[in-house]
Amino acid sequence: MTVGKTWDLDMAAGPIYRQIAQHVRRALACGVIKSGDRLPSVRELAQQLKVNQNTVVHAYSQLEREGIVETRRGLGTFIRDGIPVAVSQRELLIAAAQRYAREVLALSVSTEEAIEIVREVLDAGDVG
Amino acid sequence: MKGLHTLLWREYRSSRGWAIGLIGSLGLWTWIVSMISNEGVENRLALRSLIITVAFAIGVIVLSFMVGRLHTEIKHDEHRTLLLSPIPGYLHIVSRLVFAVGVGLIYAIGLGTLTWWVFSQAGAHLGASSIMQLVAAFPAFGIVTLLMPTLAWVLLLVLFANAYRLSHLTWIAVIVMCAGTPVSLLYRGINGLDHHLPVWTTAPGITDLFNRLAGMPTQGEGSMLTMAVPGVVHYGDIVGAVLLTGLLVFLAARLWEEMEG
Amino acid sequence: MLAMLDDVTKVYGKSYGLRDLTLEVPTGQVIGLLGVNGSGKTTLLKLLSGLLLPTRGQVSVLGEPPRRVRSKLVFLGETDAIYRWMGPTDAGYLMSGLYPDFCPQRYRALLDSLQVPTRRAGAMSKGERVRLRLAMALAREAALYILDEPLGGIDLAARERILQSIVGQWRADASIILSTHAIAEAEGLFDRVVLLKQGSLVLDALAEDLRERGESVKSTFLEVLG
Repeated sequence: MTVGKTWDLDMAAGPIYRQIAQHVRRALACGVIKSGDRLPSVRELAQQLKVNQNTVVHAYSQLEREGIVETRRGLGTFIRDGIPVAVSQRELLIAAAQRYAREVLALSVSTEEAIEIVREVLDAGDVG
Repeated sequence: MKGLHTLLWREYRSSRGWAIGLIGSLGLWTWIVSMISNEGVENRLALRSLIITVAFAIGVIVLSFMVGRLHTEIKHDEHRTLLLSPIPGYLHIVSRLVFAVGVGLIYAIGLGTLTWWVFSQAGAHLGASSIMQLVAAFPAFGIVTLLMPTLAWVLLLVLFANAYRLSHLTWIAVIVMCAGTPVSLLYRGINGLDHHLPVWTTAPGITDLFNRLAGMPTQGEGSMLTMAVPGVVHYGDIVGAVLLTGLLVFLAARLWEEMEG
Repeated sequence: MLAMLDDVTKVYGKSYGLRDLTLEVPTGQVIGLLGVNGSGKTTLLKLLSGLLLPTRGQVSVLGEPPRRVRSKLVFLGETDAIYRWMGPTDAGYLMSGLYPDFCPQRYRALLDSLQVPTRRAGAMSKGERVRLRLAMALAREAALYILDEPLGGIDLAARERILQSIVGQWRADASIILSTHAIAEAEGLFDRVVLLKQGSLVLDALAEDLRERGESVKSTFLEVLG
C-alpha cells in the first residue's frame, strides 16, 4: 500500500493515530488494499507523513485491536485474511449518511425528499 | 589516542596557511641574510645574527597569533563541537600547543641551519657535532624555553578573556587574574635551579670565534652575537620552561572544562 | 527519566532567562519546545546540554550534570557553529575522531537524504550548513538529541526532508527535544509540547491529548500565547 501523494492529515481534526487508522479502513473499504497486503513499516509511514513513530504504532495497535490488521514479528503489519470489505464499506457509508442526516434534520427536510435528492445525485453522477 | 590525532589534524587544516607561511619565510630570511655584504667580518656577522634573532622573535609572535585564533573560534561558537566532545579538556589545549611547537621547531631548525652557515662564513671552525648542536639544540632551546611557555600563556589568556562565560568565579580565574606579571618572576625563580643542574657548553667553535673577535674594536656588536647563539645551554631553563608550561596548560584545561558555551 | 530540569532559574545580569522551571524528559519521547523569540527556549536547551549552568536549581541527564555525560547527548545550536574550511567529508572525519558513537554509514545516508553539497562550509548557504550540521548530529547514536531551531532559515522542500530525517532517526531508547517556529509543519513529530512564555512554562501537554479535545498544537499555541 502506498500512502499516495498526500494523505491529508488535519492536525485539528482529532488525534493523528485515529486519522491514520481511518485512512487504512477507508483504503480497505475502497479496495486500494486487500487482505494479506502489507502496510508500510512504522518508520516508513511515519517518515512519509512526518509524524511521530509512536503515533503510527498507536494507529497500528488500534487496528490490531479492531481485528483489521495483525503484526507478524520481523515481517511487518498485514491486513488480516478474511476481512469483510463490505463491513468496512458499510461503516463508511453509515458515517457519511450520518453527516447527511444531520444536514437533513437541521434543514427540517422530510425523509422522502432527502432520499429523492440522493437518488438524483447518484443518477446524475454529479458528486460536486 | 584517536582524539589527539583528530585534534592535531584539525589544527593542521585550520592553521595550514600560517604554518606554511612561517616556514616559507625561511627563504626570505636566507635571502636577506645573504644580501648583507658589509665590510668587516664582525660587522657582517653581527648584522646577520641580528636578523636571525629578529626572525626568531617574529616566529614567536606569528605563532602566538596563530594560537590566539582560539579567541575568534570561541566568539563564533565554532569550538562547540570540540567543547561538547567526550575528549578531556587538556587534550584540546595540548593539541594546539603541540602543533604550534612543531611548526616552531621546524622553523627554528631552519634558522639554526642559517646560523650555522652564517658562522662558518665568518670563519668559525665548526665540527660535525657542533653543526648538529647548532641546528638542533640552539633553536630547540629557544622553542622550549621561550616559545612553549609563551604559547601556553596565550592560550590561557584567551580562555580567561572568555571567562565572562563562566557562570561563577572559580579559583582558577582568581589565580589567573593574579598571575599576570608574577609568571615571569616564577620562571626566573625556577631558573635558580640551574645552579644545581649541569650546564651544556656547546659549539666550542663559536666560543673560539667569539674569543678571536673579542679583542677587536667592534666589541659592541659582539654582544649582539650572543643573542642569537647562546654558547651555553642551561638545563635549568629547560626544566623551568617545561614545568611552567605544564602549569599553564593545567590552568587552561580547567578553564576550558568550565567554560560556558 | 532520561533528563530533568529541577526548579531551574537562569539569570542573565538583570533579566531572567528561565524562571523556576521544572521539566522531565522521559526516554523515547519527542518533545516540541515552543514559544516566541526570547521566551527562554535556547536557554532551556543550552542548560540541558550543559553549555550553560543554572543560577539556581539542578539539571541532570542520566542522573548526572550534563557536561559529565556529554558523550551521550547531542546539541545542535542555532548559531552557525561550524569551521568554514570543512566540507562534509572533513566534518565526518572530525566527528568520528571526536565522538565514538558517530556512525559514518548513517552520516553518509543523511548527507544524501538531506542533499548536502560537497563544498566547504564557507561556500554553502546558511540552509545547507544547517543540513550539514544536522547530518553530523543525527548520525550520532546518543541518548538525548537537543535541537535548537533545526528548521530555521530553511526552504520548504528542505524542511520536509529534515522532518523526515528526524522522524527516521528516532529510537525508543533515545529522546529528542527540539524547538521550532514552524509549528504547523512540525507538530506531527511531537509526542509532547512544552510552551514557554517569558522564561516560564505555561503549557506541558501530550500532543494527541490536545487533538482529542479538537485542538491542534498550532491552535493551542496561538490561544495560549496569542
